[in-house]
Amino acid sequence: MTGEAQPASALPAVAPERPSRAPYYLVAPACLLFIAIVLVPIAMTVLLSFHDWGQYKGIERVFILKNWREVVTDSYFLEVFVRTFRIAVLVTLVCAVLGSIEAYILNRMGSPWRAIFLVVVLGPLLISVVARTLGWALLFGGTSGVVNQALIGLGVLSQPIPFMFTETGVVVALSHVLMPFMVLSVWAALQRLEPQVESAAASLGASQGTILWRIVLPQIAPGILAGAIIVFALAASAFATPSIIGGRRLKVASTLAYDEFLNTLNWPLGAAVAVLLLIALVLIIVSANRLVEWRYREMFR
Amino acid sequence: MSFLVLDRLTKRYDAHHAVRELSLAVEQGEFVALLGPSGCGKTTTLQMIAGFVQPTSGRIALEGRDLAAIKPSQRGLGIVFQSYALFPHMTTAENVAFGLEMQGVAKAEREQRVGDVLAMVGLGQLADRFPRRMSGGQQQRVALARALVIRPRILLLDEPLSNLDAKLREEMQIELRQIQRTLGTTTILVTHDQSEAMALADRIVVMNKGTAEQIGPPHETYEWPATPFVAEFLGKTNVFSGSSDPARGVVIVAGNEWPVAAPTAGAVDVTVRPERVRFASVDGHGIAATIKTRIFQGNHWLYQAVADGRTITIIQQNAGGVNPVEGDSVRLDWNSDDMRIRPSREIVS
Amino acid sequence: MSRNGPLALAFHTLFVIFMLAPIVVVCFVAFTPEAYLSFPTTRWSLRWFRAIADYPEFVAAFWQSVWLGALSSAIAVAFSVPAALAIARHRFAGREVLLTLFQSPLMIPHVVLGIAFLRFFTEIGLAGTFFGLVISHIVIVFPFALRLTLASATGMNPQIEQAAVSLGASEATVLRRITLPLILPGLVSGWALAFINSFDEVTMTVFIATPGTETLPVRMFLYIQDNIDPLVTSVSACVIVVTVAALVALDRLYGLEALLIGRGKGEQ
Repeated sequence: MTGEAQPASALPAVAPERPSRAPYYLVAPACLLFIAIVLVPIAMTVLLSFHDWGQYKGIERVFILKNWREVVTDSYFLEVFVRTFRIAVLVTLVCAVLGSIEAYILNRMGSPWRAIFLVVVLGPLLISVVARTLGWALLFGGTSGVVNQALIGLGVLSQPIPFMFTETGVVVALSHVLMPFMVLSVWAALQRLEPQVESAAASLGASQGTILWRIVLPQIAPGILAGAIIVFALAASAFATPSIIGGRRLKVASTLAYDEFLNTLNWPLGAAVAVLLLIALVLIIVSANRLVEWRYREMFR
Repeated sequence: MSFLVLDRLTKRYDAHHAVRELSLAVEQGEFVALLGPSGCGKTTTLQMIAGFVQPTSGRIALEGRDLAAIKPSQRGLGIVFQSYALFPHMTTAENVAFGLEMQGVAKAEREQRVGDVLAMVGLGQLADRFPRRMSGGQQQRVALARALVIRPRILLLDEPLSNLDAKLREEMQIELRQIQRTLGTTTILVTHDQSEAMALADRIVVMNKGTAEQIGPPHETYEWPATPFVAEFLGKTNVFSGSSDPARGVVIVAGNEWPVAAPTAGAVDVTVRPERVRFASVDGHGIAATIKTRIFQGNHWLYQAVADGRTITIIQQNAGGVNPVEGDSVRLDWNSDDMRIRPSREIVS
Repeated sequence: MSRNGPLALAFHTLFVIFMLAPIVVVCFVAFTPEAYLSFPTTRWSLRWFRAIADYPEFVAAFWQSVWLGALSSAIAVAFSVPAALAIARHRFAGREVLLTLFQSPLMIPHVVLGIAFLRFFTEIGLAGTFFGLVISHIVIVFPFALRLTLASATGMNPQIEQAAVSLGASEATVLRRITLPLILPGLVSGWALAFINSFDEVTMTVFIATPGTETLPVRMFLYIQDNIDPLVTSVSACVIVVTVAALVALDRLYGLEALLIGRGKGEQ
């Protein structure tokens, strides 16, 4: 998945209007495709969450609130959701800070380093998430893992701390996986800046720190926020990484749904978890997007 | 019957009139320029003739046939767009041949005609080159060739020279005129550049806010502007407030009298072209003024003089005569024949 | 561009190490001569690469991913072309809504899509089929195909199509001779980006793939659930190498920025 630092309403400019039915015929195929294989399945899933389930009777097509009640009141589910969003927030913060700094540094490089390191930093996006997470599993492995050894060697730690099967490990690994999205978003925002503005500020006597804080940061803030929204959404719905690093006992929303669906076979309950995650994310993303657009409406053309 | 007739052509977008009741008759072989500032409706008019925009009301008739029923691809018009709109994935020759292909012309004849028209615009050696490897001027010629090779009934030019630098533009203007004279193609040019319109066209249509303020030959439109807008848009002009006394047959401006038969009495606007204003002897007849600035422009001097807070523009040929400098006191005079008089439109308070 | 100071470069170095460490480690461990996970220190061995041949399910999964990716990307691109042309050239009611709808798969967690498709396919009898997989992948790659196709269509000067029309071309001719050839680079890059996203997808696919139709990431994921041994590292190393090669090729051809942001190198 890749992201874009653009407001949701940015549309391409159009040629003068032509009063014809052509556009409707043109969008029909994609429209039908979407209705058939996106809207219908999702609607079915929502419906499924209201069904009843028993270990012997299977799925019973009724309309009850049993699963929903369980999901929002049971402390186990609550704990899982809180953990999911806690991890997402931490990952977003880590990516926002580190990713923005790196994007800025990259932007100030000359060629050919700039192009090379852009590929190095963004490239991992295209590499399988399973392979990357596997790498972290190897790095974390047990108390003699490479990461621990390195940190002890640098004097940061006195004793090895467990990373595998902990939230910390999941946060670190997820930050790695999702970092390119943040760099991408901030990078795109940086490309829109005129370099001469920084020079102008310097010629007026601003220090490097002031330039960063008063000139650059406000202008790339929408890019940072847009990237943060993407990273948050992906972190909250992450599956493979929490599964491998977190293990069976440290569940997040996605792995919980997987568990219910494919292990316990309680499809309706799994559907309820998934739909709750969807609703929560859609609400958060849409309101965050609106907020960013409204707050920075002057900057968007 | 005229070749092309626009009959009360109107284009409305919600409450805004882009073109309002435009009527124009173009004769075969004529070169007509639609001239005006941006937003005056000239490009919209061209797009309606081409068929890319549907008129809200009014008729367009070509050789007597109503164009409303004819699709843009069937109108047989040659169009040169402002951006040239060359096909980037085709060579010059392929670009030019495209229209002939659409007409079903046989290959041999196609190649012949393409070669001829490329020679006519001076691009014979660039037949196999792609647009991205050509300069703006060369691309412009390809666009022209592509429009001309199909022997269009009308050639439509949408600000074709606006992307060229000044010198190239002048050269292209001359070439364009020569080609049009040679081929005799009825041509409609859209431009905001009044000197270009006056240089190329047989008749100018001066447009403002969707309507035609004046239609006429360049010289006539320049010398006898029908409205203040035309007077100020075509060339530079000076506008004075004066009063007219028909009983004595004079018009008075700034205390000076000129003998002229004015159509009305009372307050009038008097326009005089800067090149018709001359420096008279300091104690003679004319308006007293002080030179504020003077600019040398090669074959003439451009002066700005101030009289009573009003700025007056004077253009004087660089003929080696008297040349006042900044700060000089002068007297400005002109011939009665050079005055254009209109009832004043100003509200006197 | 102004230079980066030593502090910035130090940060940058640590950052790059952070980004590359897991990838490098996987490739490293893949060469271990031991029967268990360890770093090859004295000897390097290809045994675990050769061992892949003993696990035909990995090879089968690889081809499954390739066909799945190629097919779903091609279909997604095909569907995206008319939609992109409509959105780029016309102003019509519902244009914004449609664009949001077509981009919606980006906002829907893949877990939800996985569950939704599993339910859907079970109801209509497509569960466990390759066809079902293709459909699900078309959905998730469509936004990428559309974005790049749309960028290509809007980047094209509309007066070029008008010129063709004025020269007598019918709408079909304009599409065939002018529009499609000019947006073709966008279509290819859209296909490439879609393919990569399909190839890597695991969260949704793990729900709907069955033992006969598993893709490579799913196979790797399920293998890791049971145990982590050098075999999966050698498979991963192969995937990494192929991806990096494709990455470099794509960067040379289109520029990574163009693929990921939708804008070309040096364009604004």
